[in-house]
Amino acid sequence: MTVQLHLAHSSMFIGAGVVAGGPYRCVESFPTASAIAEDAWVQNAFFICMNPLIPEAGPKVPRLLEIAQQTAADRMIDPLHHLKKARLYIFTGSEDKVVDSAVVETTRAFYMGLGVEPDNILFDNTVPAGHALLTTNPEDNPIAANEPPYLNRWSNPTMQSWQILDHIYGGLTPPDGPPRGRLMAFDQRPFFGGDSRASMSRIGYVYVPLPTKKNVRPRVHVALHGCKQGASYVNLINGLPDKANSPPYGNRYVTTTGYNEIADANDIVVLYPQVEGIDDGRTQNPEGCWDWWGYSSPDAAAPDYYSQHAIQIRAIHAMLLSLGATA
Amino acid sequence: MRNRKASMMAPTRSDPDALPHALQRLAKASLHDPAHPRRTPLPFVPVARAMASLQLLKHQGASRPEQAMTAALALPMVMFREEAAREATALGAAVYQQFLGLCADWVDGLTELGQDMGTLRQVNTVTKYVDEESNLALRGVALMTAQVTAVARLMENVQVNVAWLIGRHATPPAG
Repeated sequence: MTVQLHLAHSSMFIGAGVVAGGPYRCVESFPTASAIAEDAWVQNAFFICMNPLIPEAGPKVPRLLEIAQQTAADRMIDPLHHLKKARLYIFTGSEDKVVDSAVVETTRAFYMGLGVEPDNILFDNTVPAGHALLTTNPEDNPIAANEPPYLNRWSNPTMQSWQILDHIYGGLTPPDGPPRGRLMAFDQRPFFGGDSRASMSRIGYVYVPLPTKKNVRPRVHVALHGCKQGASYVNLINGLPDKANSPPYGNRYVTTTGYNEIADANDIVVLYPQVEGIDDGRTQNPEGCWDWWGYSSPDAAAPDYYSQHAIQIRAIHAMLLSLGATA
Repeated sequence: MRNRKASMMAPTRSDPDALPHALQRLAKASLHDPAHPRRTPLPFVPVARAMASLQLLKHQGASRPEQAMTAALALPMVMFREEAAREATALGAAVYQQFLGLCADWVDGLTELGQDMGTLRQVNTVTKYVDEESNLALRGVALMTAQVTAVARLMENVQVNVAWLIGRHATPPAG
């Protein structure tokens, strides 16, 4: 989803951090996987964009570049020239068993194919990590785990979120203590019209730092949680939400991943929009993922999840505008 | 689903209105609920289950022939290519590795279950005994279900990857 959001509004963003994510419109690699479009997208998501049996069965960059160029020509996303100066942090753990590292390598190749300057891309596939955002928290999973809440601890003295933001913005001041700003909950429904197709939660979060410098316009970072990491996500047991026993993973993503600390020291507002698991026959998103395969599209045969028209991307864009962001 | 377990903290139900209220909920569930338009009234559940099975068959009918056709049309063009043979070998090795992983999960699961079955726990009530025996049986079913699901996923993975690889060789992407 991060890549779809980035390309849709590349004029608004100076860069992106992609942790274990595939390239733009990856699920449209093999559209003839099924005569039924929504089946094809899901099969592509599982077996080409997450777990190709061999790297050769993964997504192919030239096709995805063509698709991106056509999408820009159709004015469904910002012109691609905005990406040339983009700063990208792309990470894949070498023990990731959920999204194969070979797929994430195509994300790097995709951005390079779009003309992003190689020096602006920090690509790291050297850490023996599972599918996770990496932290220094002792309560998080061991480094090689591939399990919820997909927060693993590494031996590095800094949070991965600090590295992401430092690469994107450059020259950030390291945090010097716990965050002093305010973490606020807000009603997301006005941003997506309360439509269950969006699979978005009622509540989203935003961290607003205490200003460290006067007359400095704060920057905004959008932190998109991963699958099963939303604040209201509840694990499914035998197909039913285990509401009695599931810990609220999402609070950990919002409060313990280090974004707030680094934001506090550098006048960065962090927006944490939230999606939740829905599997009701209309919206197939049981694991509470952001839409990168089209479940939120009104018409599966002509999906819009990758464009400025996508219900989730529209919602996040509206949130950014309400925070004072400009293109 | 209300879980009524043997936990000390499990609430009991003894209010006199509980059964009438439950019957009311049952009656309500037998009618169409405008608030949940996708929920089938109980009398029509067998029909809904049959429809769901038919829908799966329809979807499978749309995917498998499509993939088989893609592969079959492309196969004559790729079967003698060295690159295709190399990919086929790598694919076979990858499937074998995943199969070994599934076997390992199976062995680990059975070992863990066996160890738990052999662990002597203190039981002071029939309630707790029944609960523990049920838990073991349910964990066995859960292990079986997880294995069957994983095998089905691997089979779908192979089908999609083979069709995609062969089809791509027949029509290489531009660029």
